[in-house]
Amino acid sequence: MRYQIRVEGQLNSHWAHWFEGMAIDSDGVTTVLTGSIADQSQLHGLLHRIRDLNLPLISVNKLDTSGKEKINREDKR
Amino acid sequence: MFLQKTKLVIPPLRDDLVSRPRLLAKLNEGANKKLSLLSAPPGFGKTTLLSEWIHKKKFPAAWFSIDERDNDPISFLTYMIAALQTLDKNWGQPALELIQSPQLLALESTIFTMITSLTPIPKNFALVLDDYHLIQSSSIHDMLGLFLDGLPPKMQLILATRSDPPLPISRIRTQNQLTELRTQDLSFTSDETTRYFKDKLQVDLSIEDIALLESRTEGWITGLQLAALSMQGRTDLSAFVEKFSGDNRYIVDYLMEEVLHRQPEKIQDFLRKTSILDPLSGPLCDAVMEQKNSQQMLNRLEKSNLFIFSLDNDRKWYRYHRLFADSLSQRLQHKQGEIVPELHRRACDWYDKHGMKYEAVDHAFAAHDFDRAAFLLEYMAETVWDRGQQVKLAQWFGQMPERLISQRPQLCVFYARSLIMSGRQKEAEQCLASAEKILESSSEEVVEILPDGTRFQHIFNREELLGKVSAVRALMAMYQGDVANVIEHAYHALVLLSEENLTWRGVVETMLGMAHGWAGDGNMLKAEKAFSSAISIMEKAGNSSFYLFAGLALAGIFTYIGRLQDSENLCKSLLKVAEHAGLSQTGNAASLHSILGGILCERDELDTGMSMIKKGLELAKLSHDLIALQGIRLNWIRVMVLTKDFPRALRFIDEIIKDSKNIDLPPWMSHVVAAYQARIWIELGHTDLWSQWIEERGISVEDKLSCRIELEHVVLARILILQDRPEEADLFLDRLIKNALDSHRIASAMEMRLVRVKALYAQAKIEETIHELKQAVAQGESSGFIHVFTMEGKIIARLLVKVLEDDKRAKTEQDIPYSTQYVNKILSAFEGPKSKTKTPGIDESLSDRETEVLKLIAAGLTNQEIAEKLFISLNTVRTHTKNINNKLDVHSRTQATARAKKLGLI
Repeated sequence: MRYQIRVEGQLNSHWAHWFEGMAIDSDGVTTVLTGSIADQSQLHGLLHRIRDLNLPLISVNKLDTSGKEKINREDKR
Repeated sequence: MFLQKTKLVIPPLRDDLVSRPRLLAKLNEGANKKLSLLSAPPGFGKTTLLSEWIHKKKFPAAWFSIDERDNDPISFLTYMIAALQTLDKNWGQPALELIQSPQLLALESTIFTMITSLTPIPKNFALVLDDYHLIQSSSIHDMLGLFLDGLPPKMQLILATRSDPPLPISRIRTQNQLTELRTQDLSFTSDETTRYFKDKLQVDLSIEDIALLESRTEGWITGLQLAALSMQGRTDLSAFVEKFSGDNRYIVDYLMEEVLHRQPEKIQDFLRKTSILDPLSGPLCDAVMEQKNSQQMLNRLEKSNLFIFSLDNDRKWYRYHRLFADSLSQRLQHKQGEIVPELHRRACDWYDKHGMKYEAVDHAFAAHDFDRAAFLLEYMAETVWDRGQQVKLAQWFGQMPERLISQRPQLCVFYARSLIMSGRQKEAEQCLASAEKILESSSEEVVEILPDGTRFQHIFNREELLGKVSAVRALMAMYQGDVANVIEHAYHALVLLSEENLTWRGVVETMLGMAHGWAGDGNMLKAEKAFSSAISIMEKAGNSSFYLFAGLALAGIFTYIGRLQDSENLCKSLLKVAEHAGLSQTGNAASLHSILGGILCERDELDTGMSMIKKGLELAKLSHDLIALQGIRLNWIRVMVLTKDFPRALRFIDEIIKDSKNIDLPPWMSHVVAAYQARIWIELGHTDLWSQWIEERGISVEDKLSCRIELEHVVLARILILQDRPEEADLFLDRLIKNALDSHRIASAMEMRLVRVKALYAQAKIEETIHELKQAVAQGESSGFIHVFTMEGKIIARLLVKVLEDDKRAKTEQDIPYSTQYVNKILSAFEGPKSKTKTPGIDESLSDRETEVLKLIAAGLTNQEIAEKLFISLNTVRTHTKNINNKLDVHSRTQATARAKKLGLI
């Protein structure tokens, strides 16, 4: 499954390894982490790491196979 | 169980503490409530605040710093108890023993034991659980929920966490028992920020600069600390602040860059590489860094406030601030990812050399050095299992390639145990088979060449390990309810295991006892032998809780083999042991009360006996031991049948059936329940239900006999007699009696003989009738039975009178194997029960409302009319009529009216 997680702030690409090899992209105001996730447990693990960095979570979206965002409600945590 | 004492230490007051009186006040308010919850991401000073509060207020508090390993319920509970013991070392031993007993105990029982022993404490105290977000185990969440429900009045629970825990928080909030400190509360205010920079750091910043810092960091304390660090040694602080607040980068990224770049490369290297260690010490860092001056570096880091805390007072062990360590290790990974496994390997070596095997294994896994991990784990598995770290062990096994496990017999044994517990029986069997193959083919000394070229000589005791393999096979058979295989493997294990191996032998003997007992093949003498061995082993091992369990089982066996006095004596001494060990509020103690009560009732000491069983019921409910509860209910049902209180007996049967929907009743219990149900229907004359019952239970006189369906077979015999087929009953009972006596089930044989007496009498075979009765009387006297006779009806009383007359008339003083005294005792018991219970025919008296309804019923009103007259609902009327029928023991309005008139109620 491919997921896209958006957080507030500009995150350094150094953190890619920390986020299990997800691609890190920033527009200067927010940062998007995009990549493959094996299962829900791994997803929640990532969300915990984001929490532990005190990064405000903006959204979590599942991508369909073509890479476009699926319309999804915001992840409620 | 080995404990890391550092986890229980209350963090000392920090030198750079910014006191937060407004938050201390909130915590003060919360001291009289159940729960204080500090929920915020890391870096908001939760731990620091709690430490300040405890030290300044001098509040009696126990501390438990949680880490991932504590996701094992047993480990968690052990630390919880150990933490509370820091407040009073005399407390908690019984609870600790309960956790560590090999009995498959519900953890709830331990919680209740803890609550009970904490309740009498007269002054306020608190338990702090720091880093609760690390707990993922739902068992632990459930346990803590239970604990909160029954929280002792003077106790306060304080949780510090990064995410709200899955506990009934909203309920506690509604009850006004919650104090919450959340991110908003914990963020630094401008006052606090000012005091931090001006007073603590003596950094001269303008009001505007402080405001900028506060807004950029949003009061996140870690952010402010990092900012302060970055400002060290700078001259133009205002410029720094301006640049910082204009930057969008993630604060940690920005400031870490600033901080780290200003450190010498050597320090940066040190920080990155040691970030994989938690905790760290000078010597450990030396080993990992391959240098000699780590201690100085650590001291220096602490002095510069570089996010490092000392964990003890001698400055031996330290820990990095989590965020700092995370940030460093991702830099390490990015910069020199390829050396990380090597660093872990060096840490593993160091821990191994210093005898800290557990940590060594952890690092071996982190280094992905599974050969090393397997090697270390082989000798540790038993210790880890005994420490209650089964979950951790299972995780480790999960990470290792199978081939490494199957090469090492000791690992196989524990891996198999792990697999059995998660229901993977086939894999467990494969594991055991490969262990056996290795053990049978190799010699007892195996030399292994380690990766670094050294030779290591494994010396293991082949017999011992083969014994453990058999024991695990017995365990597996027990999970599958395969009695025959439990017995086979258990005996085999006992031959091989050494006498000194108390833990394993104790578990095996107990399994054997259960397999031969009422839950198994019913061979009571063998069960007695096994449980007796188990008790003496447990006495040697000094484990009171397991001792009680085995003892209780033995007391039960004694009643089955007709040694009532021995059972009574054993129960009494076990209750004393329970008292001394602080285990009087447990399910086991409840069962002891019940067995004792049952014996007293049998002996016609009904008042004392019934109150003992009642006490057992209360204790079982209190300790939430549902299995014990059902067993005690069965005992109570027997007494209800004895006192002819059939409606109540049926209600208790209903309770058991209701509970059995939520828990798995042991199979033997459901058979006993079915037998009692039918027995009661016989007493109540519900002939219409018999044939259906026989069909449903699938029993017939052609059946192969077994202990499991024995009681149902006896009911079948009773029905045959009532159906005018006493010859068939007689033949059947003959077989049943022989079968019971073969396995020494004396109590069953007693009942069977008396039913046989009735079958013989129905065939008018008077001589044989009297003969059989005399045999029963002889056995009864030597065992101590009384009411088993009265439960068979007045006919037995008449026949006993005849027996006494016969004996008087006997010309020669033959050896009569019983005393006249005893027979008279039985006869007086026939009068007994009725006068001891309340007014015959009334269980509980009718309520005022029920009497009202009854009067209207007698006046001939319909339910609808009654409802209208009393201004209540139709359903309510129906409920009342049902209760009235129950209490008067009738089935129709006519009967109710007649009965009520007879009893003078209306």
